[in-house]
Amino acid sequence: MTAKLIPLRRIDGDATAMSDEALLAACATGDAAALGALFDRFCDAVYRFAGRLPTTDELARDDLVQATFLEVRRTAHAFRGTSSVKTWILGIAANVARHALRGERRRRVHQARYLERFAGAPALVDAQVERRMLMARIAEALAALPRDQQLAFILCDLEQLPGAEVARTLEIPEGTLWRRLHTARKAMRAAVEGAR
Amino acid sequence: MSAMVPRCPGELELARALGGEGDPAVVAHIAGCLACRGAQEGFAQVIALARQLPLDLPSRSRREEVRTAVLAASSLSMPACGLVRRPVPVRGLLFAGIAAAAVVLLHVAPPRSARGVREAAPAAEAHGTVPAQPGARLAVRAEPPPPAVGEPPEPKAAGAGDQARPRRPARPAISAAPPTVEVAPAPEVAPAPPSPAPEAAPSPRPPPAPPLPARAADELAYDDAWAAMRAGDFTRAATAFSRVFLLAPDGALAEDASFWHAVALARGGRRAESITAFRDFLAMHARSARAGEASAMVGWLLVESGQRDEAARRFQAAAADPRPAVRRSAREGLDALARRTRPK
Repeated sequence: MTAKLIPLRRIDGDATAMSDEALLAACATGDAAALGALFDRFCDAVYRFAGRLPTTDELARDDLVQATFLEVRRTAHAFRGTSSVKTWILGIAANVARHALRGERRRRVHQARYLERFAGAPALVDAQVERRMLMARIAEALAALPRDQQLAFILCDLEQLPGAEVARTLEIPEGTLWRRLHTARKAMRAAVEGAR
Repeated sequence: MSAMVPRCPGELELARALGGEGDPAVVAHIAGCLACRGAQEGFAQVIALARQLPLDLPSRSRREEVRTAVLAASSLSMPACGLVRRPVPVRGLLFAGIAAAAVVLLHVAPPRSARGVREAAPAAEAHGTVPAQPGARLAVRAEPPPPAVGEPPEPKAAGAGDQARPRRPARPAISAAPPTVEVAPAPEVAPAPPSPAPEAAPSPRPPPAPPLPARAADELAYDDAWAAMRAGDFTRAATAFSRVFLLAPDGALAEDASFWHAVALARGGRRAESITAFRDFLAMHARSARAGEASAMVGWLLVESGQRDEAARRFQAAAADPRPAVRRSAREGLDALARRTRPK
């Protein structure tokens, strides 16, 4: 029997019509185009998540996004559909961030850079400066949160992902997530109230 | 109507309710309790402010670079993408058609580990349809590139910015055939039953297919880039060319890919990125045979973007090129600059 040559079908044209889950399944079979389509669909969300982490500079953010999507490719087969694909990918990003930025020294350096964005507000008190200082306090409070609380706050309150899904993705009990979230909110609120 | 919780709820219930996942009774309590409502509103205000923290999202080109890097790194760690697909269990053959026409359809099942995913996402079945025998191995055909027949036609750099782009980017030495899979025949065995229990009755595994000579990933990317160029998909072409020199920065194709990456960007109308790419090319490959041509092209792009000083420098560099067409383009560029700077 002779071998047969058959064109390998690509998803190029249809990627936009495919569901997130279908793209992930295609990605699990090794389809690079599916990975590219997933990147196109979710890179903004991952960049936004990374950008909200006070401890990432620009390069670290690119690294985080890249590492996240490589991890998506590597673990796509493990997606069980218990959360949305977006939550699952952001969960991966959270885990990548947790591992990548473990060093406290590095964290402090990045934190200082992050806060520089808000530094230098003049002592003049007008509405704009007052707001700028308030935002600086919020940024500072977010940066000062322990990493677990930071992730809970960013994923649930800023990215507005369902708590139950986030808990599953981070592999923590739901109660733990809500407790972290509540503690984080209290700290953030204290920062805002201290600024007034 | 849900009953209202008589006492103020604890922290967890409050947090859950603010997340929109609270118990209806707790939500009802919060709505009617001044203290709880005040606390929730305070939190909500902080959250709203935190959402307004500035976010520096990357530029489109930066995202593109990261995307390219992801796909390049992914293909390095992923044989299925580049060279050889792992063996996949095949469900069966469907024979259809009337009289002489017989169409063989076969659905490629996913790896067992992905079974849960398929249940969640049936649309994925639309991907990867390959007629084959049960148990066949799939591999991307690894043909050596056709031998280069002389020098490929050089793109012509002519008088206007648009004309300075290569008129015929096709390179006959490079095969741009669509990727194909070779289905090595399985030994003659009876077709598997429609839905057998794999653990209960394992089918005899076919002997592994002999390894095929594999082409390097950068060569495949290069072919892909040229296929995209010919199809007029300059975005994909630019991405694929950049992938070539990311995969093999010191490879034989890196210089060409770097040049054509810049050309693809120009053809795609991404002038600023193209100028940067040409500058990179000229910085990295100053002695390239294409340096004059690249100088003339970037010169015209710079004229269009109003950067006349650098344009003049690039045209002057191109004016010494051995090829008459490039020299003529450079001269015309310098003339155009002189006309624009001449006082009226």
